[in-house]
Amino acid sequence: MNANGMGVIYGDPAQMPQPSAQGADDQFERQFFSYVLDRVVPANAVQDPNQFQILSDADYEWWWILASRTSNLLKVLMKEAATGRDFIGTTASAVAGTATFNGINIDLWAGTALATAAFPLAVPYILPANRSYTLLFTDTSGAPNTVELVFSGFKLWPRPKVGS
Amino acid sequence: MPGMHPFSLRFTPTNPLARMLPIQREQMQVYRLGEKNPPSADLRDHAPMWEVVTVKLNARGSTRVRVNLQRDFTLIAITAGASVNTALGGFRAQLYDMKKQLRLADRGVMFANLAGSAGGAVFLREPWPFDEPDSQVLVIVQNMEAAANTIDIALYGQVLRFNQPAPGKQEFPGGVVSNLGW
Repeated sequence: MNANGMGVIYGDPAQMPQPSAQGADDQFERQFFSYVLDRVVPANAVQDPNQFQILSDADYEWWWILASRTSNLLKVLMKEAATGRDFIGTTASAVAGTATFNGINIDLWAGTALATAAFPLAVPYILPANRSYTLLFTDTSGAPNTVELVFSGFKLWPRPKVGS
Repeated sequence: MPGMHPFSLRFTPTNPLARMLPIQREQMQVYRLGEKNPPSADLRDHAPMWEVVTVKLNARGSTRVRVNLQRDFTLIAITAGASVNTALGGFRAQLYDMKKQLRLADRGVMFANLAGSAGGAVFLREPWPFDEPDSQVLVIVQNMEAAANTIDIALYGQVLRFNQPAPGKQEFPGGVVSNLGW
């Protein structure tokens, strides 16, 4: 409490939450880096597959999704090749009127990106080096849809150990 | 008033609500997980997941959708969209944690208050864990419009990787996550 009984003293770094010992230094140097996927999705394409691969030099810590598109009538699925993991899914028991699950509306996935910001992953995810990811686009706009997805984050460079 | 502003701003009026967050690093204070770097907290070794519910409802129609959640799903943010969204409000939705028998809202929440609008997202200040085995979320959706409406609700969260035996363990069937030796 400060003198006014109003909690912390604002602007005093000593009062700010400090990173935990675990999170303070994980022995990686982080290099800002983006993987970019450009695609003109054909009109009315259903699960149009597009791959990108993490470069072999470093693992990648994924923090933000950014996207641009011609039409918002576009859905996206994301899969990890090595494990078969689906990042976008549904097991909804009753989904009226939708025969096939084609993913999440792109504006919901990267929605804040379209409002001039980036959708933040609350917990960053490690995309291992060399691993491939598939993005499946489904268009319902009836016209070619020019899409750019940007996976923004950091390359993780292991810091050399002192004395080694 | 001591402590209210840094010295350079001490004569600058501010909205009192702004004092709910520290003036420094306020973006990191928006949700609790942002305290660590990387902000993984108890969700280390989890993977991002978007559970998507898409429904097509007739005018004023409603439905309930039950979603089986993967292991240890922790709800972090909600985004939503509707093909028709007039002054009537688009739709209302209410979430239930079936396994804990808890409702996450007093009654259905209007679209704009559930997930913002224009592709926005609402981040929970405190993530909600569906950490009971075989958890389910029940989504009750009501179309508020006088026309048919296609409604998308995406629940963004973290799940334990399905091939990970437990937090902190290596991916099954073994081997480090990547070939880079860390």
